[in-house]
Amino acid sequence: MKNVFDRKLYLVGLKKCKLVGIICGIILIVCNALAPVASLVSGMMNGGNAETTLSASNYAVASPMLLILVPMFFLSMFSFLNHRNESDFYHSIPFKRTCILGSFTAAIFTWVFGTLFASLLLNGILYAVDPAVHFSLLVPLQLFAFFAFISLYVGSFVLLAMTLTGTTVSNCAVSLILLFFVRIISAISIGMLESLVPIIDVAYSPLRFMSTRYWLPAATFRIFYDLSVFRDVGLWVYSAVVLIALYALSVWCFHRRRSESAGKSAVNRVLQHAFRCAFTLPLALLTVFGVMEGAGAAFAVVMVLVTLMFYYLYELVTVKKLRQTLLSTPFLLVPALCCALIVGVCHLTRNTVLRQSYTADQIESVRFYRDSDFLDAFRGRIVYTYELAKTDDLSVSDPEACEIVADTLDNNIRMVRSDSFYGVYIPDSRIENVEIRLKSGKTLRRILRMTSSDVSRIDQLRQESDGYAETYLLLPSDEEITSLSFCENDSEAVRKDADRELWDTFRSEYEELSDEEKLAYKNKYAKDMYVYLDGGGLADKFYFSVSGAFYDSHDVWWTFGDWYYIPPEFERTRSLCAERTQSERDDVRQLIQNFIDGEYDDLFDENAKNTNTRLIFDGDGLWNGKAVFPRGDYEYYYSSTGSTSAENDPKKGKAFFRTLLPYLTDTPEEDNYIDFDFFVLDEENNTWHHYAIFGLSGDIPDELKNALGGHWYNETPVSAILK
Amino acid sequence: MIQAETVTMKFDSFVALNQLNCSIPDGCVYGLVGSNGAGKSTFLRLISGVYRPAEGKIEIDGQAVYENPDVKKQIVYVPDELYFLPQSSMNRMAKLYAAVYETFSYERFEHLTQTFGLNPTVNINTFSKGMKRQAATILALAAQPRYLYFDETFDGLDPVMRNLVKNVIYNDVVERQATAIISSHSLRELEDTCDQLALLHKGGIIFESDIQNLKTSLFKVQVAFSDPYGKERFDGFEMLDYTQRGSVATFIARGDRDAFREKLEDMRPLLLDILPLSLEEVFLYEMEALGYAFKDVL
Repeated sequence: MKNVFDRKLYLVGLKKCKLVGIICGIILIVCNALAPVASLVSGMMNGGNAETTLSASNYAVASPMLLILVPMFFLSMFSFLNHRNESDFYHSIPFKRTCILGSFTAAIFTWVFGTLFASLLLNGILYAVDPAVHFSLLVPLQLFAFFAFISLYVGSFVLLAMTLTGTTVSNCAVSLILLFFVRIISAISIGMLESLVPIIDVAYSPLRFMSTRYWLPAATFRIFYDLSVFRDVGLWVYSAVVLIALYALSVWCFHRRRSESAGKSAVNRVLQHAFRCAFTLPLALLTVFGVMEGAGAAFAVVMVLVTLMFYYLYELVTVKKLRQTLLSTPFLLVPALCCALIVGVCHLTRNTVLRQSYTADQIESVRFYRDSDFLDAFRGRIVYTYELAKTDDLSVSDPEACEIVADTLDNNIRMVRSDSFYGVYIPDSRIENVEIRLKSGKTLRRILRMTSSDVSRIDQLRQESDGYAETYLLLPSDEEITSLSFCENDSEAVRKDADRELWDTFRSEYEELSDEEKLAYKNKYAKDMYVYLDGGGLADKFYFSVSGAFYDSHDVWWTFGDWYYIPPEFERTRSLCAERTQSERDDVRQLIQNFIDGEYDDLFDENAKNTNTRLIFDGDGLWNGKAVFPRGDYEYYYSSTGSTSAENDPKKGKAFFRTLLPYLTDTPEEDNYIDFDFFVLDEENNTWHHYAIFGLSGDIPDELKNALGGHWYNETPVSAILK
Repeated sequence: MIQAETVTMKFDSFVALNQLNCSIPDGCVYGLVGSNGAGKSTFLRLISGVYRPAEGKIEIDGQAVYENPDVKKQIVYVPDELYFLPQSSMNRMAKLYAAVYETFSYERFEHLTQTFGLNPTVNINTFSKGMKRQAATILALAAQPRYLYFDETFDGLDPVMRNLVKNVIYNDVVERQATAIISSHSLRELEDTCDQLALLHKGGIIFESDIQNLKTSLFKVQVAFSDPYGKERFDGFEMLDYTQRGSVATFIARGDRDAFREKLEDMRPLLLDILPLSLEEVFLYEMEALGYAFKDVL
């Protein structure tokens, strides 16, 4: 243990970066407290905010800050590597170098994690006291793990840069080179390759890990709008591998680093040349790319001058010697050779790809596959129905499909050769990603321009294939389901535990069906949440809202959202539904009765334990009634009982409910009905759930119309809405 | 005991130490003298474990120094360019040293700060160059290591402080049987402090000796005879330098002073003076005897 960590040295490290730690703490706390404080103040000034649920984007501002703060810690802590006297001191003290590195790194991350935790805790407290925010502890905890990982990741790059260099300027420059430039160089190279060979799908080549999808700093910005980043296993595994590799390399470099490297721009001249050339290479590559894409001579001249300026500027700034800067001139050949090498590899790849044309006899099967979000972290995720997600990329072995693809591939190769893949308008054509499995065992992935009729024909052949029906009839597995709700008509149900029981009953009834019956069910119900009875009227609707996600065998992340109607033939499930909803309605009826009879003027009162007894057993609290008036394409929503709105007169609530209660029916009429939905608070997740739904039977009597119109605050009186 | 065997240290193409051999016994004050670039600081960094020798080995009590915490915890190195934590006071630095060296004594630290008259609560940045050097010396001594290395440690000290530092180091060596290695480019600074001296030149120790022995083994003789004579009269004497003006001969002799006097008195000279040499003069003659021009070495 003494070889990698020492408690006393760790404490020295903690004190050493105290100043940066305090600055970091202040910045993170301000970043994370700003939004909730603003929300609270705004709420106080406006008499309440619109209700929102806490999400990761509420904290996103702290994320990019870590890209600056973590390097600051490393630059401060390991600054001794840049100064001869400090370097001598720390190398003379009786600790192994690995121990110095380990103890100081631990001290850095104690500060980072500590300040991060404190800022998230404060933020959590502020959000928790804001009545408009549905606070969930899971969000800050998830974010803490995310930020902590990002900190470790960024730290690994900076640490490696510091072990390879010996001045603050070169520390920063090489950190940037390692963190950003490698990605920029690879992105330009990939762009060049895709420009030369547009039918190649780089997303499935070894270069895929060079995409921004696998680049964690990009993810720090993605969480502003795309929370699926948390579930991107590929990103995390790749980043973890990079992180471990970089720390291992840093330890090795730190162990071998000579104390006399302090004050030098790089630990040796070879690395100095390498860093300078890497610093210049993106510009050199851009110049070449621009020229390849037909940019004019003026562009080339300007870019060459800018590249030269960057080349010499790097040397001058890091070495601070004009003579040495000029002496580096011969090494300009290195970026030039690198460019030539990259262009050469691209052309070689082009020639190889364009030679790969096959006849239908050589093709075993073809399939369309959805593009992963390669090189485009900002593209939305793939969302389909479950059936489509499962069947969309099934392969087709039909000789006709193979023939179509073989011909298309041949055409596409000719288009690439004649430079007309993108440039020429081809009517009724579209771009498709096609996987071609050859009888030789080889698999090609190509981006092909196809006619819509060819695509439709292959789709048709796919739907006629053996595996299609089998896959199409599947229900989502428990592992794939991320969210499941039981719904009655248009409202979400409450009891999550009961949902699962209902779903399991539904699934067992579904599995009992023959394949033909399953197909009939899927074709009749699964595609449309609005289910009509044979007579034409709207059916009473019990259904599941199911969403989920999975990786397919090709490592493509799919998400889906589906509705599963519970038809009357599913008697066990239906019976359970009826039982469930009746029980809920009884609960609410009793609650309303207690409210009418009780001494309290609110449907929910913390002090009125007796009134709320029936709901407390669920750990929930009744919120308020909600009226839905469907008329044509519009629905009108009104708050009711006054438990959450100061504008309501709670005393009128009793009179209202006294009038309402006798008219509430369990089954709403087909036409001209009013639904009354009751919600409960799920305290664990701090969200409101639908609890029970009632209808009003028959004609609405004037007594009730008056009660509705007189009680509810709304600009349009209910009486005016009701005919 | 510090043992260096055929140690070579290179910085790119520059050879800082070349096949250096050296043996420093415990419990002595060892002086390293040499001109700028002779390799003194490099040698101190090597025996502190800051550098790893390119060739050869450096051991203390038979154990390698580089990356060996067990050996390094017995060593405190006070470099030419001092290091203090930013904006720190001596008390803050004492905490750092206490965290790093198990043997650090706050009692001794307080005693030494009082002796030197330094305020341990004041920011070290406000100290003069000499005071900073005193502070570094105090911290090193308070760590109570077995081996203390001082690089150009008397630079910037006034004569009073120089003597005080010398005394403190000397007492430490005597009281705790510690070993101190002090480097300097000035021979005079080490003359009255060190037990042993080594002269470094171009990366190698060209001369190493016990100071007492050095001072007594060479002496200057002035002698005159009534009859005419030449250098051959002193055949059998070990002489390093001989000059004669008229009847007065002056030469540097090596050997036992009393035996010398006895032999010369037997020759019935008109005048006989046997004078001690300063350390610088001893070095001058020894260097010349070895074929070096002293002015080139120091």
